[in-house]
Amino acid sequence: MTALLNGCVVLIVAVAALVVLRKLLSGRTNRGCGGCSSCSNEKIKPAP
Amino acid sequence: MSASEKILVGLVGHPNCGKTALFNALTGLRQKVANYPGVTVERVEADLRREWNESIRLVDLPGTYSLNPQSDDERVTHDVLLGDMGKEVRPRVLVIVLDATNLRLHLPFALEVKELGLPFCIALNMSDLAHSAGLKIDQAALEKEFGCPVLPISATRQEGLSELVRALQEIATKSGEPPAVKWQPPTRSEILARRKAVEDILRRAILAPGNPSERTARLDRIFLHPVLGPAVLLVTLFLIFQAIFTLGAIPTDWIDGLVVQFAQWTRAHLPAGLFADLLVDGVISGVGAVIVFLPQILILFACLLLLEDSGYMARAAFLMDRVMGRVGLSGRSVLPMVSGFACAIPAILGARSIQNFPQRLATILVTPLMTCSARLPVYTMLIAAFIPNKPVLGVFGLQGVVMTVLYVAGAASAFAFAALLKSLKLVGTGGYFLLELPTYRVPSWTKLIRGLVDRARAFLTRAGTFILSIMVLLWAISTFPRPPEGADRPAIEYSLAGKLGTAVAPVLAPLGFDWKLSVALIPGFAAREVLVSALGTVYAVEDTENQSSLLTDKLKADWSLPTALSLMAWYVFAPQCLATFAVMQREIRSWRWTLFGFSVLLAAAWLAAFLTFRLAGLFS
Repeated sequence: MTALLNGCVVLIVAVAALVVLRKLLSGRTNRGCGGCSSCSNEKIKPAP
Repeated sequence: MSASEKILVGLVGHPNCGKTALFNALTGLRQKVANYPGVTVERVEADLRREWNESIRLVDLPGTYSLNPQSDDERVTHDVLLGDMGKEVRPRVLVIVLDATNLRLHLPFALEVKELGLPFCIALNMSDLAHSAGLKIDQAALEKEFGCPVLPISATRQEGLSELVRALQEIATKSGEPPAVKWQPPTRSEILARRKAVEDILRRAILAPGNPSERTARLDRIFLHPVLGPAVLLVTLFLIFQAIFTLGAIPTDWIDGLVVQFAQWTRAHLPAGLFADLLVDGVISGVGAVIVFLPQILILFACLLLLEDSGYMARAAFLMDRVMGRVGLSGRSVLPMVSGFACAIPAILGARSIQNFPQRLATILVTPLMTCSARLPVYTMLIAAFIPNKPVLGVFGLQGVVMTVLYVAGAASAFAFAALLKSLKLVGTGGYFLLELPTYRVPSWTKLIRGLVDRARAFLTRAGTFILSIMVLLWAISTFPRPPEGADRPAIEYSLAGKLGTAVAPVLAPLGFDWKLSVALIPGFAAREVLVSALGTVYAVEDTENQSSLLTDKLKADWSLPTALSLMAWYVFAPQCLATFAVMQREIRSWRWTLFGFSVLLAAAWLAAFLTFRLAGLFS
């Protein structure tokens, strides 16, 4: 049981690392911060 | 039917004519609807609601006063309408949205668009307001003048939309490929001729002039008064910050209590070990520390939305224009900077409406100093822990006063930075400011509730994804490597986070920050409010015996008042949001200026925190 739970911990940490990496690389860490409806409407794009 | 096979219909009109509200009503897509110009900085496209027509797709073009572009966002509209925007599909049909209460200002643009030769219809928006003010417009006369259907509508009340869609369908089915146009900037005589044509049209089409602006004029005598106006603005802002504390305290305490109980319950029902530690110390303590600030965030946004929707926000911008001029900013900088109270990212994008690049650059550089909503959880946590809620002048609370001071300090430092840039001749001055003051109206409650639900959803989604992931990682580096056998210090001091904190601590020690705060500041660079979660996790990992106590209690026990004040001063300036600087770089396309902005803010944060810590140390 302990080994299974520890395995879950490793999996969760790995997924969290992927999520953070993906967000940081996309430069869209502020999407959905609650401060900006523009972000939630997919309006953050590079300047034309 | 694929998107490319659909008939593309463009919505065009002045900023603030209700174009975006109409777009939302026709498509069901809830885009931000603001009551001041400059919000639509990007092209937004969506299908017409299915129950009306499946073959029409709408594009919401940035608001513009004429086809002669003066800024980046106006150029987008110009280029799309003329088919000069690369692969961008040119609309086959247009809906020209006009403010029915202000046709004299809006009709010249309609005449200009008519000359493009694209099939179009006219939506007379805010017809309900025109009607209630006694303004009577001869619809048939306007149809005759423009040779197109003219439909009275109210986008916010969703009136007249079916008729508009029917007219649109008829035009769209008859439309072919858009004709090629050679456009030249209008000459002075052409502009004058157009104005004369508008006067002729108004003589024929206005049956009763009404008095749409009487109530607005009465209110503006107070709100735009040289002395009363700024006083009302200051009192309004002050009341908002008082409301954040007085109204927000009760639901915040409930959520806080629930988070603590949930943590205890989880700990009691899971076998002791790493998994339980991850859930309780990483996930619940970290994410819970941010979620408790949802009521305060919603109160702030409710106030901002009400001010926007009522028409007052444009007056606030007008009042600030004179101050802006003194520090070398354009009057157009007001709107991006005011929206910086919500979030710096759309504010930086909104600066596209500034045509003069040096002024746009100055606006972008100073905008991160405006107190954004992500700072609110940090300020609220520190104020709740360290500032007693004593009455001030018998009516106001000291906590609300401190919050007001922090907001004012943010805005004042933005002005000071702008003045510095001006005095060093790093940016230029000049340009003009054109702002349409909308008619005052009673805010729409459904729009307010919809706006708040959107923001709550966005806030919770962020807490449940990005912040959650950062907290899991922070927990991992705060837990591993494990302490050696027989270790006598707290386990976190042996972890990677402990080592990182100890490495950074000497730089931050003069500010009164210990290694735990230094650890929490590092993920805080991903987003400001993450600091609160990070402190929640760091203190939960460290304090394995007293899991039930609140984060504010732990901070009170561990920090001195000068440290708390120093952290507040740090947060007024610190460039703790890397996404803001990523967007800044994209917008100004200069690493040099982006690094300059980042470095100046970082240095200012260090200096302000240092001075605050030393001064507070002298007095305490």
